[in-house]
Amino acid sequence: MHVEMEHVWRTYQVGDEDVVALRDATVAIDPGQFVAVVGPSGSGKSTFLQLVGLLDSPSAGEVRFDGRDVGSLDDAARTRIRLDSLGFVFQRFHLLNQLSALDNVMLPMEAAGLAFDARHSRAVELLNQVGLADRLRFKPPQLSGGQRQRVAVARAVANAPDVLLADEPTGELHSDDKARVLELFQTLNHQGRTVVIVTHDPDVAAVAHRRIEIHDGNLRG
Amino acid sequence: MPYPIRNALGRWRALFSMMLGVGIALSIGMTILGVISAEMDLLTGDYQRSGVGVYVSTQGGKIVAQLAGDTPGTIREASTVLADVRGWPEVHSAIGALTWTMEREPEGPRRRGQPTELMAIIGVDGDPAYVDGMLALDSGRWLRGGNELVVGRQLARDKGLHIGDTLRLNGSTFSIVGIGLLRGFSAFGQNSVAYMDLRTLGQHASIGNVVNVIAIATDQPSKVVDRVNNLGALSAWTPAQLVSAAQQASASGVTIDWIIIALTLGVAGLFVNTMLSHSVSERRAEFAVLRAIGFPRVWIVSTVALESLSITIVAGIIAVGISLVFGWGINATIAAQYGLDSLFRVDTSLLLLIFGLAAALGVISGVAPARKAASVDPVEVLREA
Repeated sequence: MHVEMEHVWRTYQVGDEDVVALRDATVAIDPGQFVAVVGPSGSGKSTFLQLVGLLDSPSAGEVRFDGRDVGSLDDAARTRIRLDSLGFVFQRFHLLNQLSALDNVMLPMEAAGLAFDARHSRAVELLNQVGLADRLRFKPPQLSGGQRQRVAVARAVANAPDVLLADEPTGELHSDDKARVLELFQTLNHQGRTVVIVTHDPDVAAVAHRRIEIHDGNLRG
Repeated sequence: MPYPIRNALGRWRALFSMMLGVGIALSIGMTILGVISAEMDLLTGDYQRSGVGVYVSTQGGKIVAQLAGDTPGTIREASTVLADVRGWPEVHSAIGALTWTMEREPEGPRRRGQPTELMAIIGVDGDPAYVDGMLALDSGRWLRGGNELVVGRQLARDKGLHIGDTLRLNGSTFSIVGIGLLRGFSAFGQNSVAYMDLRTLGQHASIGNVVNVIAIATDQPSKVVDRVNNLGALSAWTPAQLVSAAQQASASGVTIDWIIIALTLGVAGLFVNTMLSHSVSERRAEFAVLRAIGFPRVWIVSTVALESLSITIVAGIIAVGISLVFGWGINATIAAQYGLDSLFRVDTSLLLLIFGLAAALGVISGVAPARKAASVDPVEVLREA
């Protein structure tokens, strides 16, 4: 999927003041690219990711998927695109603690309307791929940070999205776990999936094909 | 099983305290309803079960008291009226009743200053055994004339009276031959009186030729009512009219009971609403993640609404159980103390009504928390988390 931003602005109202989080951003990401979005804290990286991930709408400008303006769609349409075409990985995993690893991975497929048997077998396969075949019934609190993030990655790719978006996915991991999760992202990218990672971590940025830098809402790269 | 149902089942431990709290609140309402139902049955059921088709009082008399001072009055020339009534072809049987008091004398010498004990008596003219459903004897038999008494069950319990015991009333000795009551005279305190043949009562008290009420067994009540009205100076009442009068008399009490029930439902609803809102606030990250990964809003709304519904449905089941236990306790203690069969009656339709109200309450109480959950902004929440 071809992802584009054209002259995108995102401003927030803080009290009486307008704060610009992203300023006239124009960028195109080709299918299959591995992109690292870097920049200091508060520079607008997360805002960029939220706009690409259709969690947020631009104040001005267009976000386009395969040439179609998706940034201004209504909530239901954006929710459907998130479900079918986008996968999210968060810094703090954000798994549902009351569900097992297997159930967490099955969740997006359930929302997409996949039958139980189909989603169960795919979830088992995905957890097997991320090296957690022996942890299917474990709940998130029973897993290490690295294992949780691998479950989150499996959940993110459950509906076979075109684009995988990750916000500081290695921020809470030890080096071994970090390496393993990065390897997962690389594997997913080699399978043809677009990967966009917001990171502070130079190791993560180093494995990306392309770097997009953001400073004070200004995008470069 | 869809996620909203799995979620509600999976969270039963977290929801149980809410279920229990709401269940206890609802059980108060259900118990009050059970008591109302039994009270109404006590007040009105007797008229329907007594087998009597028409009640007669003097004109202006009130068999069911609605205001302080309402009494049935006295029907004069009672023996003549009764004879007339018994002669009508539509009448199977006619029973005259008069309430009176007699002085009970203690066994042995009376101590100085010992208060006089008065006993309420119903003098009965006619044989109630000929009226299906009128006579309810716990033990012994009905009066056959002479100095015999049948005592109400409450009176027997309070005074420790048994069949075969004797009582001195107004200077004469009476034998107790039965324990029980005449149905259809609930307004006369039928459990707490002694029954005596009217002629016998006349021999021991200056009652004159009067009765308070005549109860007529008939298959053609409307014809009998017309005949009674033609006699003049008398009023005729069907059991349905007496039931209606009894319901009017207790209307204010029943209204207050329903207000209490409405308040308990309201409190239960507020409790569910507050607790669920609190729960939604604590689980904002969960809803934000669900929204982020593509769960439609309607799923989030269903998730919380189903939690709310499951709380009130399980609470309804708990409430039925608790109110049955309360009811058993009320019947075993308070009702037994007053010599009543029951002071709590399971009325399935009323229980279902409360159950339905509780379910509706669950839906209403869950609306605001469900909307709150669905309106969670993933961007804001995930930034905070």
